[in-house]
Amino acid sequence: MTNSSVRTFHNVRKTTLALALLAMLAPVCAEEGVQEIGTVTLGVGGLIGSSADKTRLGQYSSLRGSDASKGILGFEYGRRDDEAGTDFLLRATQLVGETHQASLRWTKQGDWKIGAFYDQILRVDPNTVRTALQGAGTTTPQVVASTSGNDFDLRVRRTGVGVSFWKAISDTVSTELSLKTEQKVGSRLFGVGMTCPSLIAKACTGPNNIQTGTALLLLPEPINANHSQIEGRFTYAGEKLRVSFGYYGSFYANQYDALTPSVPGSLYNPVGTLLPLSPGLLSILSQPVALTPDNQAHQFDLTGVYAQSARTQYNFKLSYARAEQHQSFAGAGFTAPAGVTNLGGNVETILAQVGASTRITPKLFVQADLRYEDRDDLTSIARYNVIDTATYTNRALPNTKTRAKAQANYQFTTRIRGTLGAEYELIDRGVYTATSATSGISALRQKTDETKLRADVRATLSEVFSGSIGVESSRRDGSNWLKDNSGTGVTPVSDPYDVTNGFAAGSIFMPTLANRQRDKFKLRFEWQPFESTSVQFSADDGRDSYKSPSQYGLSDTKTSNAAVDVTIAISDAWSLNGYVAQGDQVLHQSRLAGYLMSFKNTNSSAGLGISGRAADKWEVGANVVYMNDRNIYMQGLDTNADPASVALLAGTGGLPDVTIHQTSLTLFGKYQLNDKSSLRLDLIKQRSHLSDWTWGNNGVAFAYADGSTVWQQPDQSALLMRVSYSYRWR
Amino acid sequence: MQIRRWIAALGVGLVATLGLSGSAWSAAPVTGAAFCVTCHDEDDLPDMSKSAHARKTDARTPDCISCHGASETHARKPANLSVRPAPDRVYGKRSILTAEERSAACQSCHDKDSKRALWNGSQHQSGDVACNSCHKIHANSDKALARAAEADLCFTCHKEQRAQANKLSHHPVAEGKMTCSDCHNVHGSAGAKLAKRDSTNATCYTCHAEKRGPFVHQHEPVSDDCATCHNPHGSTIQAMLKVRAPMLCQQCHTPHVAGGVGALSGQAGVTTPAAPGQTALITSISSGKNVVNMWQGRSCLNCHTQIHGSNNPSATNPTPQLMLR
Repeated sequence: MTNSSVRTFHNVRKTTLALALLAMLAPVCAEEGVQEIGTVTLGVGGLIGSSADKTRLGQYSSLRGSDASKGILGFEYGRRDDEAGTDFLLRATQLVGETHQASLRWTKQGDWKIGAFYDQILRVDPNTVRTALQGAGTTTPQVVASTSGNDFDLRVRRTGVGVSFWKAISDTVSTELSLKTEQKVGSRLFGVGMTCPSLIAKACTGPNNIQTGTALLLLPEPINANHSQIEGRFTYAGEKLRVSFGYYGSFYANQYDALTPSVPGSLYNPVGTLLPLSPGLLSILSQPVALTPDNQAHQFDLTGVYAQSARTQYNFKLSYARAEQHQSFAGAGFTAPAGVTNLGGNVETILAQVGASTRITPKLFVQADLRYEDRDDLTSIARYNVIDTATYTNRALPNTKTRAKAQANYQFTTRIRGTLGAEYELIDRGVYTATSATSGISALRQKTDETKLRADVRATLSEVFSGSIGVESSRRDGSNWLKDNSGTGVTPVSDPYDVTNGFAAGSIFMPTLANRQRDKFKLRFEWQPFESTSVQFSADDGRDSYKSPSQYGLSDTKTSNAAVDVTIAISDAWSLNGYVAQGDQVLHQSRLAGYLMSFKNTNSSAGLGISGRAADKWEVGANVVYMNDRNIYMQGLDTNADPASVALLAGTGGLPDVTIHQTSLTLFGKYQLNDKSSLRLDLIKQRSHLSDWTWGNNGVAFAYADGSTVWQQPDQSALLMRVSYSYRWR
Repeated sequence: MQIRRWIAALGVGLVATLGLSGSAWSAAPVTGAAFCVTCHDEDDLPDMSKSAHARKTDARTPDCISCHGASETHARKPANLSVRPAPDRVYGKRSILTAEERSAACQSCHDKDSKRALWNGSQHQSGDVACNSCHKIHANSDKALARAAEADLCFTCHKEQRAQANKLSHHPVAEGKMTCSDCHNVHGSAGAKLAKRDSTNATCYTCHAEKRGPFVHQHEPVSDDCATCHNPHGSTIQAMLKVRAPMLCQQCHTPHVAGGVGALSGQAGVTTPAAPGQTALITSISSGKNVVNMWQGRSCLNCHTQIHGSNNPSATNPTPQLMLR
């Protein structure tokens, strides 16, 4: 049986099962107080267009083949028993094809609840790989150097099932349990690369005119893993005290341990000439790549609320979590340092959060909370790392976060309310593991602390106009910067500008650790000039400014967004809605002797929709959405730029903009044949243009050393069409 | 519908019974919620007979007064007032109640669930969002409880996220496979930005458990916060990155690649000479650490492929501590 016929067989089997289930649940003689509603939907849908035309619209669809179509089958059955107080709802959509959704909910309100779901999602990367690679998507791909290859889609399918149960044991006590498991299968963009010679691999020699001394290989990461989760909770809800004790468990298991490519003796060099690999490079490229190991996590928590009075309330959460990873190295096919069988990965996290809120006066409401989270990395330390003859260990990553927040709300009048808030956060990343070493990092920092102040005012200025305005400002500082010892460990530097002991010119200080000034502004208003019309306006502005001992790296960012939304009820039968939005993001970044980058992203979008009842039996709707996104990489040159960089920028003119324009038109029409059945037509037309140099520029593809390329058709136009018939009974 | 009829029938029946009995009570007026429906009947309000608030078998089911208050002066307008006063609690756009007051009515029943235990002090509560800002009570279907309609409801306020969700690299929210509440607990959470679990990372791991580790070779921003590099609401850059590599990487790491400015294959002077007699930047003897490999393809990840961490313990050179394999 071929793969296609196997899929068809399984689809038919699933459809038959669905129809049988539906027949079983077909309406029975009406019982007193029992209402049943059922709907069956049958139809056909298709994504019209060539395969290359629909990679963006069809990203989460199984309809990627040319003019692909599939049947539509869905149903819904609901049964409400007013006498017994129970509700039953079984719903399923997209039963034919590779994406399905089904859910069941059966409940007696206030007494018990049973739920179940089945879900299958498919994602196909909008990029297509063109490669001669054999066994793409497996753990043992065979690299073939060839400039003519076949198209390979990178796709990941997730199939999940789950059940849940809730039961009220008494008026104050309840318990719940949920279990779910998901299988993830497919492959995604991945690969390896090496350039010789290298300090970390002296055995290989570099490129010349008779050998390839550098290679990048596209090797799709194979995925076949299961993730299961269980969650249980026991809750007591008294008059003043409500407390809940819960457990969460997560278990990840990967069927694959390593990706081991088979690499040929010759590959293409950067100018496309097929040459033998330099000595040493072949063995490096052939080494196995570790895939994600199995891991587990457990969490116990105690969460609750104590209502001291109608005006004062406390809430709290205490939790203990443990993340583990003990996959055998030998079992995965790897050789570990002597005496080490697995990582011994163990990270324990304790969280304690308490909050209080109270109405001090009828006009003044205050609240505060304190949060403490301590992540203790107890993973075993061993000498995994070798550079030349030096060895050093892995690094522990502990982290303690303490946050305190307070806020006061004051009701100035019945129509005006103000808020003042303050927040303080301290992060301690623990002492750096003395036997570990940094790489590619100028500076680290153990502690950072940030203080934030916030103020906003909300007002209902009239019966038809209300709005709010808010500002926020925060400042981050931290402990002394830590400098690499050029070996293992780091040393605090009291004066980063010190010529001898400070940091070199060109050092990079991470934006996650650097001193930062952050300011935000928000404005919102809503205006209802007529009963039928509502206009909403929103605007945000935010700026981050980084202060570090170096002028290089990320220096500042700015974002701003504005949107206007209008909704009009034209009549009882018709409504119109539309919006216009604009977002801008700017960041400035630089590197020593290199670029001064001013990056700007501008996103403009607009939408217009109308829906209504055209006649007694006709419902129609249309919606059009336009998006224009432009990314500008404007480069200048550092004053220390070398002549090669100067010449390169002058010769190339810099990086082209990356742009995407997209227009989507959605139409639907529904005709009521009679009071039980209807016909529906859905159309989605999407046209888009993408100009992105990631995988090629000016007709020159980015090519891997085996000739593999990745591509996506820049101009795409596809039409999604669905025709369905629904029969509904009561 | 049925609950109103039931209350009205009970009220009328009670009055009729007492009247027939000739008791002194026979003249007692209709009180409580039964009185509300004498004006606010099925012609006045949308059908909510199928909603959870209309379940007569559930002893907790509220009536009109539970949420709107006794509203004596609204029910029986004092003679000295020309305009009938509003009910004690109204929830529409013209309500003068604070968000806390509006939410308090709902919380009197709905704060027993552990998922709402951290409502007080949460972002929505602090931002004056009340229960009825999102939930529709007098209806059989509530947008906030319908997965298909939930994102549109959230986008009413969260416009920036609406724009991001339509970008090229996105979670399948627009396709209906995911929705906002898959990641956020809108009623309050110990996690940042109302993340469902106690941290951003713990929330991401519920679907992306393969990133949890720990690993032999760790990448610190990965274990610290996924949102350091990713924008989960959507981005024009593959893998929902906030900024593309190498710029993202060079915000923390010192560059080690030749070519201090960005340039691409197909540009003059890069793989072909800019002018006759000149040499292209990339030749047969060029290192792999060249400007094209830096700015195109997977950029830094062309070599440093295990960006989320590697569990490779091998001590064979080149050892994997640089996320090479």
